[in-house]
Amino acid sequence: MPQRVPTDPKLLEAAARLADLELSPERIAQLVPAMDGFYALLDALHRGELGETPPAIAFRAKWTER
Amino acid sequence: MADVLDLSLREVAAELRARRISPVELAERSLAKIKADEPRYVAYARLTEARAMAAARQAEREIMAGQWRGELHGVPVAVKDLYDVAGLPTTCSSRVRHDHRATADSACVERLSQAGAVIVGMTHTHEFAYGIATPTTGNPWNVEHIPGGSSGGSGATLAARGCFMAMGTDTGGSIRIPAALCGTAGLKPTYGRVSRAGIASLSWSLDHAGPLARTVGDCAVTLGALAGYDARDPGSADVPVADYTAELELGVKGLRIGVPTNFFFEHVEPEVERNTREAIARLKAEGAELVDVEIPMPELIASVEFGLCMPEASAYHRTMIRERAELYEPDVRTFLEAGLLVPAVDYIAALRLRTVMQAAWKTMFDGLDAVIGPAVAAVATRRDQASVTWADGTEEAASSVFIRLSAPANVTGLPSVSVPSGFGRGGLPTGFQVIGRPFGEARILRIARAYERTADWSTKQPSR
Repeated sequence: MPQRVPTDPKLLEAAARLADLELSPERIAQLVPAMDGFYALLDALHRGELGETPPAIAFRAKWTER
Repeated sequence: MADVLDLSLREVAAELRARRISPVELAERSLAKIKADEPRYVAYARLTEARAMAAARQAEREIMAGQWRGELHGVPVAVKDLYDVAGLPTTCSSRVRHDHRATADSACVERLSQAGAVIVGMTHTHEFAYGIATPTTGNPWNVEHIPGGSSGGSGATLAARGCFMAMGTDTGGSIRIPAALCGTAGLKPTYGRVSRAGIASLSWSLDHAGPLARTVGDCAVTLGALAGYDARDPGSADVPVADYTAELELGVKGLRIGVPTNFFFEHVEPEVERNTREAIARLKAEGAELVDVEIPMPELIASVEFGLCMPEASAYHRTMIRERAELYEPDVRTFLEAGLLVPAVDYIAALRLRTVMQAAWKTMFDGLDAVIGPAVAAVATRRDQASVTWADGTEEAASSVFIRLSAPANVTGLPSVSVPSGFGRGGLPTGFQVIGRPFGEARILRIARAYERTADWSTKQPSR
């Protein structure tokens, strides 16, 4: 399974560009250790097979008064 | 008689109804107490004195005329600085929102006002509710320690007897954490039970609004005023509203309560565990049947919580983080920038796992009225303390220590009430939580009240 950790500045720079977020090299350096922890948590979301499980989203098509 | 500010909400309501206390005098005393304490605790972003006194004068006129609206009528309360109050700033305790001014009351403020409550101020939050420390504010039990968060100002003012109820919000534990750390009760209702219209969002799919108060009964009364469907909140549930005080005093005889054999008692301070197990023993002595339960998928709770919260929070802040990044506190800025770097597929995986987790909790709850565990794993940490080191040498970030046990009720949307359970290390308060079935608030409040009747923690207060 692909892992995003340990994160490196190049990966964050690319991710930030995709997110249309300007981050200075100093800021990226500060974010790298934090992202290690966050991506480790997120990687765990993909360890099991979810099959046909739908997401727990809330949307009602009914028009409601505002 | 005790100082009127030491009474519970329900006790002071009885005094107001009987006209033994004037709402105007009570509001003045509440505001004076808050002002006297603010230099030490810094619990409030702002006071709402003009609005409070107008509401108190109106309450006085109505009560004198025999038009008593209910137990919140004329009672001084506070709301977290995320709740819009018409004509006033809602800054979310952030420099980023210094120029925000509300044009209308949030749904909760509207309902509290309809119930006749006197809103005396807006309490500090960890910036934008994104944290557990509330760095602006000191814990009245020891100001060198955090009050918890994100609703830290609400917990602090209740512990300091500034008012009788204070509204919080709870995305990963932000009502129950400060309640536990400040020695108050705190209720996170079922997802959708209380409208969030007019409350600044942290995470739409995890945010809940609810009260912190001195006693379980005070939380029940407040929920009765707040609960109900609101089409303005897309998460609002069109489910009948119960009478939350009706079964409060019925006790726990015959109720089945789950006691976790995993997760909830791992990496927990010994005093927190001792006080929780003592509470469970008392409930058994009161007639509850205890059932061992295994918490499903414990290793994924934090992943789902953060997988939902981070991208939603960053979506909410997308413009502000670009335009005013330097105005955010460093911890919140890091969370928000990080959330922008989370792929949508991660977010959707969290939503799908939430479905799986909900089903697993439903199975676990089969035949049970509630599940009990510590509300938080430790007592309040020092304000400069970033982590906790456990007996086995493991070091855990303070945010994880406090969110870890409260997040399950956010991910599952289940109601949970935090109840004071005594004191732990350093004489600081501890709390346990009762988690219930969907929309089962009346049942968990009944269980919490059954324990509360055997203890007198709500009457304890920090030395003045």
